[in-house]
Amino acid sequence: MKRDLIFLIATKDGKRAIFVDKINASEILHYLNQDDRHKKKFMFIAELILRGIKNPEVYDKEEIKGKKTSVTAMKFFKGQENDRIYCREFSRKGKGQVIVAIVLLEKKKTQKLTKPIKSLIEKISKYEYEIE
Amino acid sequence: MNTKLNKDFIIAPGFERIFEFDTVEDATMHHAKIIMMKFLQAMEKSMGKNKLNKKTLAGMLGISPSYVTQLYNGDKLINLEMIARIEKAFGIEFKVQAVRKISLKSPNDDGLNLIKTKENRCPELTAFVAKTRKKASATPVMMLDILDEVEKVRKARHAKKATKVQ
Repeated sequence: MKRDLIFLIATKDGKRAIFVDKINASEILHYLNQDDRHKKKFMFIAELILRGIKNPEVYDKEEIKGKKTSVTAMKFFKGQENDRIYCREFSRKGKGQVIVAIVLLEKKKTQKLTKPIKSLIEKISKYEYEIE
Repeated sequence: MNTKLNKDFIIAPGFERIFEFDTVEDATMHHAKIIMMKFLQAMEKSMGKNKLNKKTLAGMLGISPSYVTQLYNGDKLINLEMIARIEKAFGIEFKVQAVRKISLKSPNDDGLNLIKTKENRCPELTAFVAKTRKKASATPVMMLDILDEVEKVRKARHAKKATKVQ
């Protein structure tokens, strides 16, 4: 079954847009809005994504066994809380790219992907969305 | 200065607070981080496919790997000395270009307020600015015309004052 989305922000030319998964929206938005520090970090990550500026320290594709997946991660406070928002990237033919923030994972304990995280990534890599 | 991201982006109604800075200083700091990331991206592009790891990059720039991490995380900002080190280490030159983002036509933008301030101090300029605005769009060339006109008016006033003194 296709999951619903909530639109957050896009470039004026519509070439890049960030959405949030409707089911997990309240948890994700509460996390982002909890204080100034989290909000600023999110704005930094979001603007880099929207401007197409690559910065693997804060946003990158997740790899499983050396293979890049369709799942990406917004990385909040690496080396400190080490929180993640796992996302998916979708390309719309000739219309640009859509990034969907799907699941929040707080306090990722190791740099390596543990079994539960791997299964979470595999699970969300199968999520389907109605994207024009 | 605007404290929202919405000058460059479309934000969904109801979510404006997430993309709003509390202070002008925060907005400026955020802008500085994005400028820094543009420099770092340009540096990386100059390397082509030969990506460097943090340790090598840090060694080339004479800084610690953790400092490199702090830069990419947006926790620290590079300064002009670091830009000079990057240019030297990579044998590159950053080309700087100023591109006007604010139209002089819109009555609510910061650019017009700047001109308005000058107009208030300099009534002779009002007519010239109004004439310029009537044209299809305000270009950087028109902006230069306005600045030329400001200079002319300033010189004329200076000459007038000098004559009065005599």
